[in-house]
Amino acid sequence: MSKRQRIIPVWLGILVFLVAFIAGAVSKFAIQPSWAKEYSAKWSDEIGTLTTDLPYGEGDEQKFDLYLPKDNSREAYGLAVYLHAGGFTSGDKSDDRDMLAWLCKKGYVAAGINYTLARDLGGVSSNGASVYTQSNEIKAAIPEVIKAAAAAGYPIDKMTIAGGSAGHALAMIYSYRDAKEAPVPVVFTFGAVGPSCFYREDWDCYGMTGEDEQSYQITMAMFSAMLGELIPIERVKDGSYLEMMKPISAMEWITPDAPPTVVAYGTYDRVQSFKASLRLKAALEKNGVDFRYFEMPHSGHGLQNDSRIQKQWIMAIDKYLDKYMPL
Amino acid sequence: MERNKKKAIVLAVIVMIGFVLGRLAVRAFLNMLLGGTLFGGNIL
Repeated sequence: MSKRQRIIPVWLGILVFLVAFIAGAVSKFAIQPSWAKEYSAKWSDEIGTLTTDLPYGEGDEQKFDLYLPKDNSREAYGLAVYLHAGGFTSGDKSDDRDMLAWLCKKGYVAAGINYTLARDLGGVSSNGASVYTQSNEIKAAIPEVIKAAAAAGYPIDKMTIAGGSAGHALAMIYSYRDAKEAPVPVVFTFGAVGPSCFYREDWDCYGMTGEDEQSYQITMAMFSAMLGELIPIERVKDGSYLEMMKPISAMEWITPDAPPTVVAYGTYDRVQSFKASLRLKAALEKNGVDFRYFEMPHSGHGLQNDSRIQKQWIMAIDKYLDKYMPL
Repeated sequence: MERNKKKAIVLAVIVMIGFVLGRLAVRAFLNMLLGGTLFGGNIL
């Protein structure tokens, strides 16, 4: 003992350990994989022109940001919409500025769209906002985005819509449910960890799977909040709630005409149901859609532990963009 | 000289252990919030 103390005083050992521990913790956030820089960009005037908070409706949150590429000489442009994450209750279009800047840098007109956030998901939201109303807001916003781009001299002839988590859910709803009414063809959709369907037996992360009163109540509260309409508990019990959930269940709208799709999910997701993503995968397969499905076997909702597969996922997105949204 | 060498080795080991545990602590915290495994996938 005395010998060790003579080499390194205990206080010095503890101090060095603490500094190294903090450095290790900070490095987890500060050090990004080298490949990540290729698929992200810091916005600057060199990339193009950014116009923020353009309205598409009367609501305070019904606004979008429009990213126009520097080159304005082309006859037509592809539009890339990216919808923000935040559990349908938080987040902002500015959160995805690096992603939108990257898409714009590639040569697309890019847009981040806000939607009216639900006050909570523990019951029907006090402001009436739900996944259903949000999906309709996105549907209403797209024609306005396209009009604004055209007015600025960037006519749009096709589009992709994408997002993360809640934004991914909304992007999939637009792609599979609403694309046939879109002003331009929706040629591709991508994203990660978005809930695509609401079979309660899949949602073990929230304790909905049991055949007991508490499980029924949790299902009723959470799914009613998402739908924006009270689901009678009898309908939870007899399974007919699934028909009610269809308007916000993107997977249920997949047909052979669904746009090509690239998605990623974490096996251990505790925020939304991983099992639901397997139904999405099966529906895409069954309908012969051109898709790539990436499972991150060590990750959860943040896809945080599988950098190698994350790279494959983003490379697939890039490849599909080049294929379906050629510049 | 020998003493300084031993001191440097001990300090380096402490730094490595602290650094690795710092990264693992963040991973464990994120896993608690989002889901995920403590080992596998990314090296740390």
